[in-house]
Formats: sequence, C-alpha cells, structure tokens
Amino acid sequence: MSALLEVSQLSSYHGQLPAVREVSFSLQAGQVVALIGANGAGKSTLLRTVAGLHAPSAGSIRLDGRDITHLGPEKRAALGVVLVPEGRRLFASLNVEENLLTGCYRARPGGWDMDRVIELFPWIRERRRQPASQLSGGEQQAVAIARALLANPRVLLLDEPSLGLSPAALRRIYAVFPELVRSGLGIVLVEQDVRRALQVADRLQCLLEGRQTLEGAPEDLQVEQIEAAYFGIAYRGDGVGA
Amino acid sequence: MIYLNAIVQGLFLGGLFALFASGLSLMFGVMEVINLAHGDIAVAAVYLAVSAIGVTHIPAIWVFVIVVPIFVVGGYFGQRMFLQRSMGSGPITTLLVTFGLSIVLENVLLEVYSANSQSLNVGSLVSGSVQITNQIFLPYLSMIFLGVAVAALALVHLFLTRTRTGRMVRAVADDREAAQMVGADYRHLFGVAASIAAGTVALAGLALGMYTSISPSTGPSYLLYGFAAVVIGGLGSLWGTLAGGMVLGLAATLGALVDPDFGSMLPYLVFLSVLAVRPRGLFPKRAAL
Repeated sequence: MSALLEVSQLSSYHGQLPAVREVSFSLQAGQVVALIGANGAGKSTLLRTVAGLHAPSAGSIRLDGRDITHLGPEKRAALGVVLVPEGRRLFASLNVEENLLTGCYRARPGGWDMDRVIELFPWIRERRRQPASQLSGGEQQAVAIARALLANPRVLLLDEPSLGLSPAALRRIYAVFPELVRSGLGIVLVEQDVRRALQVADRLQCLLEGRQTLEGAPEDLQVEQIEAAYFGIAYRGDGVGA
Repeated sequence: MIYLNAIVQGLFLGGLFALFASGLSLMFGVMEVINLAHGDIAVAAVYLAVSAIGVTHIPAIWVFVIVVPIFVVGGYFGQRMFLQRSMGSGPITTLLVTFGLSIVLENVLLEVYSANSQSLNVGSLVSGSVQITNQIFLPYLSMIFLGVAVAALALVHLFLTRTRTGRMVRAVADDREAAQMVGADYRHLFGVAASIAAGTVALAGLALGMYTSISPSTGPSYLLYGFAAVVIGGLGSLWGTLAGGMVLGLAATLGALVDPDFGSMLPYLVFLSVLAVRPRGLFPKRAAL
C-alpha cells in the first residue's frame, strides 16, 4: 500500500536561502507526523511547500501515488491537502459562520459538515454571527481548524496551532486530535512545544537548518537524542533506545 | 426651499458618482489595483452604445441590455489576460498597464469616432420632470438613474454577501493565501470582481452619456471624481464609496448655489478636508487579522 502523502528529497528556498534541504517523509491515513525544530529550521517552509505556497527547487510530493509537486495550492486543496496556516489567518471582514462556509467552497465529499464541526467546537453555535476579528486566539485557531476540516481534507497540515494560545486553549485544541485521527485524516503537525508534539505524534521528524537530523517513532527515541538533534550537538549514543 | 432642491439634485448626482466609483473601489478592495482606465471604460461604453443604437435601432434608454453584458464579459477576460499578467511584477507595473489601457482606449475612440462629442439621445425623457413644489423638480431621468444606481449597488452587495462566489471574493480580498487554502483560484475571483467593476462603470457611463455629451478625452475627469468618492468613503469599502459619492454630489449642487464655478470646486475642497481630518476615509476597511 502506498503512503497517503509521500515527500521525497524535497528542497525549497525561502527567498535566496535554502530553507529545506532534501527532506523525505511519508504519512499514512490516521497518522500524525510531528515536525519539530528550532526557529528558522525550515518547518514552516516545508509545510508551505507541501501545501503549494512555495515552489520546491527539487524533489517530489505525492498524494496517494499521484505526483502533485507542480500543482497550484488551490488544486492541492481541492484534492485534499489543506494547510491551517501559522497565525490562523481567518478572513477579517467575514463573520465566523462565513469563515466556516469558505471551507465548503471546493470541499471534497466526506464526513465533515457544519453540524459535525459544531459538535467538535460547540461554542461556535452561539457565536457564529460574530466577526472573526472578535474571537480570542484560541477560538480563532478552532475556527481555522474547523474551516480546514469542512474542506474534507485527506491530509491536514497544521502550522504551529499552539502559537500565542493560553494553556487552557491549547488543551482544548489538542483534545480534538484523537477524533481527527479516528476519522482517517493524516496530520502533519509543526509544533514548537516538543512535549506536546511527542504526546500526539506517531512519527517524529526533527529539522535543523533545513536538514533532517532525526526521524523515528517517539517511543523509540531518547530525550537526549531528541535534544541533540534539535540543537545540533553531537549525541554520544551510549545505549540507543529499543 | 432652494436648498432643499439642491439637496435633492445632489443626491441624484451622488447616486451616479457612487455607481461610477463602486467599480474603482471594488478593484482596489479586492486586488489592490488602481485602475486609471476606469473613466475611459465608462466613455467607451457610451461610444459602443452609439454604435449599438446605430445598428439595432434599439431605444437609447434600453441600450444597456446590449452594452453592459459586453463589459461584464470583457472585464473578466481583460483581467485574466492583461492585468493578471502584470500583477506578478508589482503594483507599479499594474498601474502602468492601466495607464496604458487608458491611452489606448482614448486613441482608439478618437480614431474610430473622431474627436466630436457624442451623447445618447433619450428624446423627451431628458427634459421631463415631476414638479413637487414650485422650487423642487424631480427629473424623470435623474429618478431613473438613482433607482438604477441603488438597484445595481444592492445587487452587487447581495452578490458579495449571499452567494458562495461573492463570499470568496471577499475572502480573497482579506487574505489571498488563506483563500487558496480552501481551494479558491484567486485569478478567477479577481476576474469576477473585474467583471462587476466593468459592468457597473459601463452602466454609469451610459447614464452620463444620457445626461451630457461625452468626448474620447472625458474619461480622466470622471476618474478624478471617482477617486475622490472612493477616498472619502475609505479605500476598498463599497458602502463608504456610496457615502463618498453622495457627499460629492451634495457638495457639487450646494456649491453651485453660491456660484457655478464653486460647484466644481467644493467637491474637491470637501475631499481635501476629509483627507485632513480622517486620512483613512469615513468608513475604513477592517484591518487584517
């Protein structure tokens, strides 16, 4: 069985700088791949390249075996690769409900509809007529995720969903993860909070200056090993886990 | 009573300004394009109407049925084929393209129709009016145009707020990338906005052609009024543009009470004062999240 999303040897520039260098990973349905790394490691650029907002300089991206490397972002979204961008990026002049409805614009057929999204975030029902700009950061993040879900994606790309959220809001966002995974969604998660990423991820990818420095299942990795890969210091592998 | 009449006439004129400027506002609001050919498109609509009437002998008041659809379609393809290509190279390139389009349109009209001024003859309708008191007249033509302007702006509003495509036009105006992430092709949506802009400005042009006479070089002077209406209202806000048009119309007719020349100066004085007091206009667009 081919992977849902197969990224191979992907390189991408951020302006003049090579931000992603020959990164490969694959994602199965119902799996969460977490991308961790310090600021400027190339996580967001990698995610934006997969979403089609950045053109790759080399490598390929396949969805279900189909090469989507050179498709425009809107075509990828219609095929089911949907990015929840960093900073939420709700439509400021649209109200909450209208923001959600934009998710249905080129939606694939699937299990997510307005009722199910409101079941996931029940507070939306009372506040659907409010301008999106009046929501708190956590509420905006919830609407951004709900908007992406309404497109019925197969691959959800989440760029720093915890950015600027209170711990309580953060817990509420991560509380919906099991439900998303159960629905068969593949998730690529970019997260600064490594502990949080380890809790939900099936596979971990660590990036340093655009290169992969570590890949594996969280339960197979030592904390020291992750730290070494994260900061780029030599890991003295006495007793590699499992 | 003479003031009341000036106010009524000012509102009639303002409706027309608003209809003229709404396309300018939409183009800027959705894709940040300042269309310097906007006035020339209105003038081109009048000349196209002159030809259409010559060929089909349709009554002048109904000529919009032929002209407006042509501009709606032309607006879409003009955006996709010319403006869209220039947008990748930055705002100055786009500005120059619209400036070039303005010059080309003006000269094509000169070449084909000569420099003679033209107007659309609507017969007795142009002078007919209802007299309310001995000071207040409601000209038929003005009432028709105000009705058309309000109906057209209401339709555009309904389109933008009630339809799927209209909602996406607003979304893409807020955040192009986020709109792409829900599968929206922004080029198509820009084309839709341009076709609305071209359709409304053609309609406004036809109204102007029925009121007064138009020559190929008239476009830029209307463009100035359009800009003033858009800036008074707040860049990119459609309702602001309606208010801006009304303010300009009132300033023009009230100023003319003092002196006919003052009537053409007061709108610009009002424009400058609004800029000084509220640089972002009366109804500024909501800031991005």
